[in-house]
Amino acid sequence: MSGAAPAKKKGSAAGSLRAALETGFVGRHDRLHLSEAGRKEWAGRLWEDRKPVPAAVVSAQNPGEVVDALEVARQGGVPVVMAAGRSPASGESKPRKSPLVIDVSAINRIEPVDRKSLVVRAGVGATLSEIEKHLGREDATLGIPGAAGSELTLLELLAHREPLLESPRYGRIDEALIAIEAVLPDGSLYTSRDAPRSAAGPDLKHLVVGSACRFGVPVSVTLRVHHKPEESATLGARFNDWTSAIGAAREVLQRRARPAQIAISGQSSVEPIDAETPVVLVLRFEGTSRLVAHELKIVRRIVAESGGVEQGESVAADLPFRSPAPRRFVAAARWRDLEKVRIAGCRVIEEASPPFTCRLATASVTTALLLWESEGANWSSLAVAVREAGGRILWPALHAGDPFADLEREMTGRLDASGSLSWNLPAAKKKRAPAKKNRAPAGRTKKS
Amino acid sequence: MSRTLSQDVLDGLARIVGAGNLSVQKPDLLANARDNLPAKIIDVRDGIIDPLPQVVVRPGSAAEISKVFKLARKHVVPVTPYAAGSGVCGGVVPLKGGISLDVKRLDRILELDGKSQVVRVQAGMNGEIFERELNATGFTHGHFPSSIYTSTVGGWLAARSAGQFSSLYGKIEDMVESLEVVLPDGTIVEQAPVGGPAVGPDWRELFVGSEGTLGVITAATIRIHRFPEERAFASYLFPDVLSGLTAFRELLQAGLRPSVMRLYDEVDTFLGSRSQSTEQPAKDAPRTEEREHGEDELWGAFYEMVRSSPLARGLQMALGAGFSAPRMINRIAGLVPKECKAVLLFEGEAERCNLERELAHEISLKHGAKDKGEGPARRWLKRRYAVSYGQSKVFDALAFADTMEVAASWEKLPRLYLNVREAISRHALVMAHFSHAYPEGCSIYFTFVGAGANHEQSRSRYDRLWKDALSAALRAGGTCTHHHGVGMLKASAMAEEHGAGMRLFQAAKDALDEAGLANPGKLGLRQ
Repeated sequence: MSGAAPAKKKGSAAGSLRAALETGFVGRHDRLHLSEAGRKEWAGRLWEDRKPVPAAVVSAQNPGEVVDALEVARQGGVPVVMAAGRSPASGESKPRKSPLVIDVSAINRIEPVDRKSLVVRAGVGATLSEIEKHLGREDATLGIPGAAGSELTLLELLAHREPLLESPRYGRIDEALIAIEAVLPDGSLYTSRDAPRSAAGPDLKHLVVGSACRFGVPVSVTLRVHHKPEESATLGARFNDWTSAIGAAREVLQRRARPAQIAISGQSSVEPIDAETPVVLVLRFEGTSRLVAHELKIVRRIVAESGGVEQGESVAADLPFRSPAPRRFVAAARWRDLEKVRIAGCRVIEEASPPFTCRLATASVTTALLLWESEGANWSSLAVAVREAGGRILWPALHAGDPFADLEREMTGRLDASGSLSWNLPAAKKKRAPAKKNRAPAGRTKKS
Repeated sequence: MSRTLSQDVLDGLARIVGAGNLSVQKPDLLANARDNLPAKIIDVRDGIIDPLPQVVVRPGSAAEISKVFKLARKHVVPVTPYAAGSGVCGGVVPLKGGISLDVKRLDRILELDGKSQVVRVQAGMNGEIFERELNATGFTHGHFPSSIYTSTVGGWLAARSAGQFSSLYGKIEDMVESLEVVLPDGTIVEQAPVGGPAVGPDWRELFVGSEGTLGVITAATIRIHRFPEERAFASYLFPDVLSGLTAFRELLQAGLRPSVMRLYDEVDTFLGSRSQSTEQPAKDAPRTEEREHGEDELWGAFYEMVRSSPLARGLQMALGAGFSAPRMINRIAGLVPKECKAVLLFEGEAERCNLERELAHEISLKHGAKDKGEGPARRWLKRRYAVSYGQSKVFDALAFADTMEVAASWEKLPRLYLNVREAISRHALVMAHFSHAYPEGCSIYFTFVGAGANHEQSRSRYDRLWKDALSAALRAGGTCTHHHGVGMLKASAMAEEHGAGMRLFQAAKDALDEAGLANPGKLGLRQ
């Protein structure tokens, strides 16, 4: 903003903030939601309990307005909650003070696909389904399972992590990120290059991703897209036990068959499976017809060698992507430990609150993700069991034990001195005595 | 900063690593004072050997490195990591003296999980030995830089290296699943080895490519692959660069994944086909006219051409005269036949390889390629690590030879190629090949040879060339480096490369190393 207005000293912080916004957004008051009714309505949109009521809401129309609004918040020492429509990028956290909400849902333009480089640039207010619809008109796709039906905005995806948005063929959503434009906490605009790879030091755009906007507010991104597949085929196979199904899935991926989607579902009991409730491996292949035909041929061979029996395409119903929700748990495990992790997790849930379901939700060459759904599971017992078996809980995600939490804290202190964007940084567990000038991340510290 | 270390510091270091793993002997200091940065080679030829480290230490574990960092911090001594010294950007040059931290004793595979296809390996392990040990268990790491015999896993990670088979296996950052890092305050941190980041930024992306400025990578968990059952080969001559690039782009975007894709521009094609090794040919070596050059052999090829061919006698004269007219030399080079060689390799299961080769063949012919059979690709594979000693002779002749690797999206690639080639051609003879291709873009590898009337002029021309070439790459929308890293050579380009993003990098540096002791003077960081 050309000379953002300093916060007024008189009155409440919220009042000063509103006054500063009115001054700073002269000629653009349609962006501001300052009335009590308007602010309460926004509280209801963002939080189930309708609290806290924002001090003000700015509907930014472009990155420059995000910069302007951030400047006002910074000067007033007011916490900022970034949002796109109904989704606060701060996730579950809420500020203690009434925040300034900056809504970027209007920054949602999706540009035409760059047909040569096969990338698309989109504003972070766009949802995955909007992007997929746009791409569909240009014979392209993101290739991410579940994208077509997902109302997640790019802001939400970039602020946090969505462990299940992964395809063995197309990779994770953050791997599709070619370039980012982000407003840094000091108001400068960071635009990364769109080269496919670089060795010019660290890949800094990945510091913004997952930082819950603490290292910067993404405003637009360039994503890798793919030609709409010429051919798509689903293959299901029935197995008598999880071990064989897991073995077949691993073999498929490690022999580079690259399915667009992979899943295993079945009876979730840890007891031996009966014939009525088999374990089903489902794979979807996409691409040019000759490559798809070849991959199906390889997979049929693997299924037969692993003792599976091929099923019809009807099993595709087992594939839909499911976004993690409060009663869903996602764990990652190496193939070596997968069966151990699955059994350990299932045992914990089964003891606590049957019924439940467990499925292999997606996988890569090295790792698979398990998804449990249960109404009454004890999350912390499950986390312990998974960890002891060699796996790791990815959802619900916790900062606890993050070896880089201190580094993140030190960096935000330097980038966001006002704390406007970093109010939601988890507090340090215990204050460590500062080691000379620097304090280093705790991490897994080894005695030296 | 003191030019000599106190006896206290030396004694302390000896207690940490053992007296046998510490040296203040001049040959050791010289050996660790530089990598293969051509500017340093020019300097050394001119008798300039500074700066040197004051001590070389060779720790044997992350715990020892932690202690070294703590001691260095206490006594305010810079620490510059060193491994095999194969870099070409001066990343290991101890600009402020101090400790050269040589990690080559960290040279073991710590754990191999064949079922999950991951390996945990120490950073100082030599690349070729690492591959050989994996091969013995039926796996490959798939990372084959031309420096594989003289580079380490830690060096690959520190500089975001790429191997020749990157189209299939990816760059090193695509392969790494987690890292162990010793931070400048001595803390040892290790990322969760399974499943990537669940919360917060992906810190791997901060440390990979940080070239020792944020600490030292001591171990990594890396994805591996089953050793390929089969390799399929194909070679073509395209009518020009653009048609070759279009074919490469189409076949990647169709979902094909050759392990190797290399397209040589006209000059590179011409010189490559005339490449002769200065080594004695092996008994089974192909006839001279059928030889293919290895990645680092072009200066050798150039030197030999200068030495032996009638066309090159004019070039030799120009070289002798100080290469005073690089534009003219490039114009002469521009008279070579307009054809561009491409080699493709596919590997994996036989059926898949053959199918992919068939599909790639159809795409190549569609874009006007002439099929040259398997020969050139097979020969390229055979000689892919052949390193020429011609480079040394080029420097002896008051000349310089170097390479520059840049990258851009397919949309920006032609402009990047033309702009950088034009910028370099003002100072040296330039040629290029395209490799490391992705569905959304590709890298370009420029090779250039230039000279001055004396070392000083040679060095000055070399510096101006780099300044112009970096600027041209960034103006064209490319990145200034695809896989060689930054070091001291490209440090000045970092601000333009990243713009405001440098604030993030600087914040990390200040948070971890406020005193600026970890590899000072590199990557454009403020000290």
